[in-house]
Amino acid sequence: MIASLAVCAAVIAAFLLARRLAARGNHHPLLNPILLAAALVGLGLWAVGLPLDRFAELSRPLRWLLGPAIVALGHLIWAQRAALKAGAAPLLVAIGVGSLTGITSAVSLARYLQLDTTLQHALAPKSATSPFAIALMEHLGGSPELAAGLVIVTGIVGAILLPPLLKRLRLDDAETLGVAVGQAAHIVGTDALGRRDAKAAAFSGLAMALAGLATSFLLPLLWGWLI
Amino acid sequence: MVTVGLIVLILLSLAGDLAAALLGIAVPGPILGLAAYLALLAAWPGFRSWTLPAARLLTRFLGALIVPAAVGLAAFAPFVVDVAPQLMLVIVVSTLVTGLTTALLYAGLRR
Repeated sequence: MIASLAVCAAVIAAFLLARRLAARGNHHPLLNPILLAAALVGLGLWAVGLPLDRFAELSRPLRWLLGPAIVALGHLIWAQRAALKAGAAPLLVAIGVGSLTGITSAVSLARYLQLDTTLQHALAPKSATSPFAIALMEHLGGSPELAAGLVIVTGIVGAILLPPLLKRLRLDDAETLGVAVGQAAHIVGTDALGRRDAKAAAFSGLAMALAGLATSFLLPLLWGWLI
Repeated sequence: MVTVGLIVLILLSLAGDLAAALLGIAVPGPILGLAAYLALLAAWPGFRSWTLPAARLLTRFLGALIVPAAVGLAAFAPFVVDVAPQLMLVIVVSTLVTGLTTALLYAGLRR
């Protein structure tokens, strides 16, 4: 109990420190606080000799809070309800096609590069936020842990690369940026936008939830093609 | 107020888990909880002031809650180290294509 509290407190402290470092570095995309904090925690684990599986056990309360935190995104979505209502149809089409693109692009490229089928399967739900990816893998019979890991990498990659790309293409108004980042980089992307732009984060949070639903609907239909 | 709000949000998440289990569907409980939260906000405006401080707190620390999963990735290093470049290529290309498709469609259709 005390060890668990200490580990959770250390993770939060690492995250706060990482956020401060990111602010000092002018929020450069590579200074993603989740990535930085994970590196800090990794160093800490190595320094005190705590094995990864023991860390996973002790940090479970934080994972457990992720559920209520996803529910809490509702307040961001609610605050933007007028803008969301106006853009509902384009949003649904963009997310539906985006989710299909997410699954097919990942699996076909993985196949082309001859990655093994376990990896192909685990990459399939990469455009769904990790609770969706885990639920889908458990349902369809892939590796939930591997899929969840790849989802986090995807989120970090998207949070780092997508905003500058969309800015260059002038697709970076708060709504478009939010929808694209929520679709492709889910919770890590939403978290990154949340520190800069509440409106973009609201669209991102909604897009993330819808993309998870769309992927949950599409992936079982496409599963026959995947295996 | 934060405590009451936290309890409400935790209960919504658990209710979502329960509903997903009972219905036997592959939708994560917290997403059903999120839908229920939005429905409650729509039905009862007073609900917002109850839950807002806790919701803001959780949203602010959302990143910290993902850190354990990001650390856990290291456990997969031995399995993926040989194919890490290909794997990164798939993730980078697919993520950019997906985000770009979504952005172009959304921006184009909204006009």
